[in-house]
Amino acid sequence: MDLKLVKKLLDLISESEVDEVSIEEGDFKIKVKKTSELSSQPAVQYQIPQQPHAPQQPSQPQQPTASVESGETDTEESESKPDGEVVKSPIVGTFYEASSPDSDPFVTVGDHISAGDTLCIVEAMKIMNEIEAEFSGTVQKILVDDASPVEFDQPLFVIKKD
Amino acid sequence: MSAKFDVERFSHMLQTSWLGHEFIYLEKTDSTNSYLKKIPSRELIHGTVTLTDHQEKGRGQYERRWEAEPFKNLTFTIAFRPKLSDRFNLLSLAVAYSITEVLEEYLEDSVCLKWPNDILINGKKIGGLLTECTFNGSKPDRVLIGLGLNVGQTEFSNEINSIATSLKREANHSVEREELLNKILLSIENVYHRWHKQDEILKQDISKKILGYGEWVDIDVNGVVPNQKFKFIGVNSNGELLMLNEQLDVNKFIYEQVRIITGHQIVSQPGKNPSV
Repeated sequence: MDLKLVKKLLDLISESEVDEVSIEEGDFKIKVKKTSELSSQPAVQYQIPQQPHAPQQPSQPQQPTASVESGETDTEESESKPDGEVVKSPIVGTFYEASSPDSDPFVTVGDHISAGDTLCIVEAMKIMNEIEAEFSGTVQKILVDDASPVEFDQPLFVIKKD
Repeated sequence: MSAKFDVERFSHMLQTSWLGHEFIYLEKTDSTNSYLKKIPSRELIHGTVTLTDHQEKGRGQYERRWEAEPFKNLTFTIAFRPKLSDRFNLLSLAVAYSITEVLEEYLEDSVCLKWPNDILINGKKIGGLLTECTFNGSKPDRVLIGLGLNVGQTEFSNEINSIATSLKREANHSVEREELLNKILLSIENVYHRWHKQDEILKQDISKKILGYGEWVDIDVNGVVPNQKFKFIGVNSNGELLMLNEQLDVNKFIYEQVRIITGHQIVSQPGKNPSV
């Protein structure tokens, strides 16, 4: 399938009165929905077929779609990403991607990680909290900048499970 | 007096109901926190204590070194495995507080805390904590509270001689480490229960022990001292500092690096933990 098609579709919907469109084409399926003010549902639900022979794997098509629908931005990407698990901060604190300013980051995008690997440190009042991966997978996104404050439950990483 | 820590003697004395029942003695190790960090989750028992007589790479905050003369002090780490993922800062303070209580049994002077990690007597550092937590995803896996306590050491390097002290120096007599650890663990076990059942009085007890409590103090926020005083009104149930500014607004400092500056402050040396 074609990313341009998705973009076109989104543009079309955002300009039209239509609230929801589903398209199925072989084993490719996409459902686009405008967010209503009352709903915290994700604006876009996107499914990548599980079959190994799936046509080219578009790994990050969510980005442009989210910005098209930017009226309500407070949606969590987690629900819209069946292919990536979101790792959230268990506590309030400051996010660090490395154990010290001189060290390499624990993980970078594209890294394969194993369950138990350290992903980051969230420091709160001089206590270092190491966040480990619960499962093995590939780091798709790092959602927070180094040394920035994070809230409880704030998404930190998107990791595609093995 | 440079005898090894007598594990058998210590075990006979131990009065706790669970804390320290799993006891790992290492004559020498890099760091007891690092040692416990490596134990696989399924093998780590709540309340495990690891003690070493010779900590070769003792760590303080931010990779600062923690030096201790072998066979004379107490350097150990406790592993807790709480189910809930919050209030670990308060737990760390509670452990520090419980140690002040034990030290005061040996001393006439009062022992206080320099928020959040140091234990002081007469403005000199006698001990410090390094608390590290591990989360598996969002679930807490372990809370490691590392403690360094100067017990029998009387000689300190020039660099820290004026800012460090030990129990022997302050009490003017030797204290048996096995007995002291037993008392400390009993006190920590007690305070852990108070923390666990969310005893409301605990945070007040802790607050009263922190240097600057109830006073208008200067504070250092991320390396800058704001041009106004703050009244330190204690810690809340998350262990956060509560400070009134001159407009009487309550400030909490969660993200910032804060240091309370009181008149009788020890001078801490960058990159080096005053201890031994």
